[in-house]
Amino acid sequence: MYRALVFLLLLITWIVLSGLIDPFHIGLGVISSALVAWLSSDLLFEDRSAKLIHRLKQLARLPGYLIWLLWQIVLANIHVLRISFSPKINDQIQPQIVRFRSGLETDFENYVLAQSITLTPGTVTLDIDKDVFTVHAISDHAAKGLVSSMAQRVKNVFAE
Amino acid sequence: MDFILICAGIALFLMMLPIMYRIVVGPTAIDRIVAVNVIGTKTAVLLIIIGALFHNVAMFVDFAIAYAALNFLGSLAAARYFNRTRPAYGQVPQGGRDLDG
Amino acid sequence: MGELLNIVSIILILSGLVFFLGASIGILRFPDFYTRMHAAGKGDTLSTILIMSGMAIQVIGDFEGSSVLVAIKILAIAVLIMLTSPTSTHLLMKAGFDDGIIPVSKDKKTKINDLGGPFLKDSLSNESVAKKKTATRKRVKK
Repeated sequence: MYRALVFLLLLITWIVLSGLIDPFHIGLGVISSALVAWLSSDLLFEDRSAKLIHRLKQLARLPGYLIWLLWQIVLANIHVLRISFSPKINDQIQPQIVRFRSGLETDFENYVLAQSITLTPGTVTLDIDKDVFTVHAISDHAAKGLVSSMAQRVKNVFAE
Repeated sequence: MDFILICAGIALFLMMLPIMYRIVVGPTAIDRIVAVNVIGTKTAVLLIIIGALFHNVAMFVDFAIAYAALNFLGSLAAARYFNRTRPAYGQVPQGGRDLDG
Repeated sequence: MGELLNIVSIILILSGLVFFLGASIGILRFPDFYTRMHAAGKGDTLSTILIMSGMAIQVIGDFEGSSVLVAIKILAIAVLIMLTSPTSTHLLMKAGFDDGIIPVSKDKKTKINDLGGPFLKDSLSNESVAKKKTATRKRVKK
């Protein structure tokens, strides 16, 4: 089941990247995707016990999160823009290192949270140890916003 | 439209100059890698703009994909290499870090 | 329709350039390594996404036939960069942290600030930090 999913993903990538729609090239794509899916399909989806319908539900909830994330990225960039153009830069920033526990379970959820933290308001992930995040924040404001809602949102997306 | 694309390309190039300064001066080795990484990402963008100027985006898009992927791999390799091989400064400043406060 | 697409793509490209200007000035002006990473990691990603989507709209408007595929490829580059840029930022930052670059802060001492968070069950042990600290001290002695 999951092997077929990996195969389909690889084949779509192949067709988009090659751009040639004729039997010969698609045949090559089918052969190489099948080979890769056969050899190393266990790398992609770690938890095979979940039913496919759950995956589809998670996939349906992902775009809402991505749109929210994109808006947060724009806000973060305006924040950094304002700091970098302000004449007295040292008054604007209060760099600090913050540590907190995310409460997320699987690696993939923690990966999504780490990427989101790096992209949004003035925070960059320094270190992850299971679900303990060490984060560098550029200002007090960013550090306060960190624990508010992002982990909860990621948890909602990947809930059963 | 070509005029705007040329302007955008030149603006991208001009904005790379401050980052070049960071490559030359940057106090630590990792500063320099970061600057190279940023310039590499922007070069992928620049390649697409050049492709649009030559009315041949289909060809330049492939270059840009390869460039972006190689740029990512290069910065990963550099981060791995500079991790724990030597201090980033020539000598570690006195006092060290006091993380427990 | 063509005019509208043109205007949208120009707006996207220009806003991408503005954000990249912020990133490059930030890389020039921020006081230490960690804060420069903020400018590099965020401004770079968003400006790339914006300019790439502007160019994708441009390509769809300009040419015909196979241009949809080219636009999809351009968007694929944007997605690739959105996935890889935070990863490399994080790894480079971690390399710097392990190397012992000292972050600037208001009161010369760098503290780790335990915020806890909504899911905190028990207070965190300071073990890993202590380990890191002794490792740094050892390197200083060498």
